[in-house]
Amino acid sequence: MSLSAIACKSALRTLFSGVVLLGCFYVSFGKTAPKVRFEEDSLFTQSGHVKLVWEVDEADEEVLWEFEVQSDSTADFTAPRKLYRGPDGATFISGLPDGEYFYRIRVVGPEVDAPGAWGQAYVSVTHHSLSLALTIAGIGSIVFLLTVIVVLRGVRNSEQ
Amino acid sequence: MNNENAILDATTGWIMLVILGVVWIGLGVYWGRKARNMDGFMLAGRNVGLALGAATAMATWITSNTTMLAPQFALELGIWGMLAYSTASFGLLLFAPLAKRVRAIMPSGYTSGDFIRLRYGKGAWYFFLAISIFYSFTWLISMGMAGGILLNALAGISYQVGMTVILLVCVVYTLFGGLFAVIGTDFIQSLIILVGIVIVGFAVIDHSDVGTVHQHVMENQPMLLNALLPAAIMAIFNNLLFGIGEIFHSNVWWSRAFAMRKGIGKKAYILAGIFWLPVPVAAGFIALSSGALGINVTSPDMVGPMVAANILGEVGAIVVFAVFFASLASSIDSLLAATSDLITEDIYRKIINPAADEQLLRKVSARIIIGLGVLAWLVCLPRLGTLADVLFFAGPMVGSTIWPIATGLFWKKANSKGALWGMVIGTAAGLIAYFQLGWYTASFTGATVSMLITVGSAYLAPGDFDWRNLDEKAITPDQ
Repeated sequence: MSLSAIACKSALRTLFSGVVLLGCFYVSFGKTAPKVRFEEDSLFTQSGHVKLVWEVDEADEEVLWEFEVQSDSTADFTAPRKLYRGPDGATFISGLPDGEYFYRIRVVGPEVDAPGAWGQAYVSVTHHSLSLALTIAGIGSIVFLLTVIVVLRGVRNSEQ
Repeated sequence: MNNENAILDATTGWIMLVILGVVWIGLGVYWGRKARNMDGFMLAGRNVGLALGAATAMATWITSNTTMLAPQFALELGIWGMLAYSTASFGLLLFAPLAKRVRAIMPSGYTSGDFIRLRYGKGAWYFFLAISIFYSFTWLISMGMAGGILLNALAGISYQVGMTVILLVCVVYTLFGGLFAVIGTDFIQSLIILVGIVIVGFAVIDHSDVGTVHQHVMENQPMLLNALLPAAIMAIFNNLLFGIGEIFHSNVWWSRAFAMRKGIGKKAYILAGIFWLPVPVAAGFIALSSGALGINVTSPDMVGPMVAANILGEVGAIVVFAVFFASLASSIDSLLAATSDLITEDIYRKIINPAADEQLLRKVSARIIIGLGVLAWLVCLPRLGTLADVLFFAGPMVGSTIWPIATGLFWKKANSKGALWGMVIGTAAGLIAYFQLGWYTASFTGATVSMLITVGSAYLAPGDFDWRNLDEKAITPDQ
């Protein structure tokens, strides 16, 4: 084997090792997860439902990221509950009783070296007063009944 | 749209869109041949029978508002929300006797505007036209938006393209066929809708039993099962009065009352109301099952289609596509036809050009249908909010028309000032409630305030209306 052939083989081996190393580096570390945040980080509702919408940094919008959303009743998320994991950009939450609710979101995929930083949102729920609701329903039922009476009596009188 | 998972691939979506579009346009052109004069084009020859009459009323009332908003009601307001939506059938049931009365006292009438003009004079008529056209337009916009949202969610077709195609198809077949095409296609569409809803209902029950759904909602959305959820309690009579206001005032329903044969209207509207009643309950149950089925809801107005398509898979999504397309088309065509009639008859013929002949009126009517389609398209382009936001903004206005119409049809003593101020102040009060308390109080407030003013005025300064003045051809035979 000539000296040049040995040198060429050695160079190829070095190049191969480099590619393998780079590959390992890529597999191990992947993409850096971008920062994701809720469009509104503080929401108030009187009907117990909210829509949480989130967005990633502009530079990363082309990638179909995978998100993880968690909720808890305390800001320090001592007992977080998984709410959603997937590629959607929003989630609709309803049926919440009076109280305070905390939500956080981060990017968990695809192929990120580690989950991204959490973005947080806070939702406050105070339902309308029940007495107001019952008053409105009571008046509404009277208006409806009177409408029915006007129509039915009108029909009877016009037929006579 | 915030949703990344389309159920059908775009090619299948486009094939469905082309097939359905060609079928409706073909039927529109075919039925349009029957419309040889304005009575034919605007009122289908005033000769619609019971089967077609009931089907068109039911199909028109099963709109995107039923298939998309009823599930939204259930998801936002729970059990009461689901029942609140089904109360809209009372509008159809209560309009049944009104349809008979309208046909009897206005044998040559064309529009609801004709009634207000002849009954209350020009002041109330102008305000009524503003309300009616605004309402029709918000309804039309909500349909266009629903079409775009739906095609995007089901087939990944962009919102703008889907919305454009659905509006275009409906404009074309309404343009050629008038009310003949609208009523004929409504009959086929009502069959597609009913069969589709039955298929989806059985599939949902097959995938998740009621016990599982109940347990999931109890744990995660407890207020949806709470009988004392304040927003839902407020929504019950608000929605009931909104539905009654929509049907009592809108020319969509009056034009059908004029179009049906004598003695048919009452039976047709009662049948339509009975058939319609369970549809929102079925649609609402589908929405409540979304959590138990593990479906992430990105937009509340899309929960119905999303759940249905998810549990039925690709083949089922095709059924869902056809059902929703039919429910949208059956309402868009009715709105285009009825609103065009209202503008042609009440504004063009009565205000701008009373000497216009039938040929000219037909041309004007066609241009108005195209104009409405273009205008709706322009407003739909930027998606403004949810369907509820768009539609319920008209709630206080339509709520304020209930009492002027009901008393105007039956009370001689109901008077013009009461009707006008009832609508004006009722609308204003309802809009204040809309912004201060929420949409679920707006129609109720509008109807209540309007009722107090209309009735108060009738008792303080009673009129003495001669019913014969409503038969315009009898009092002005040259028209």
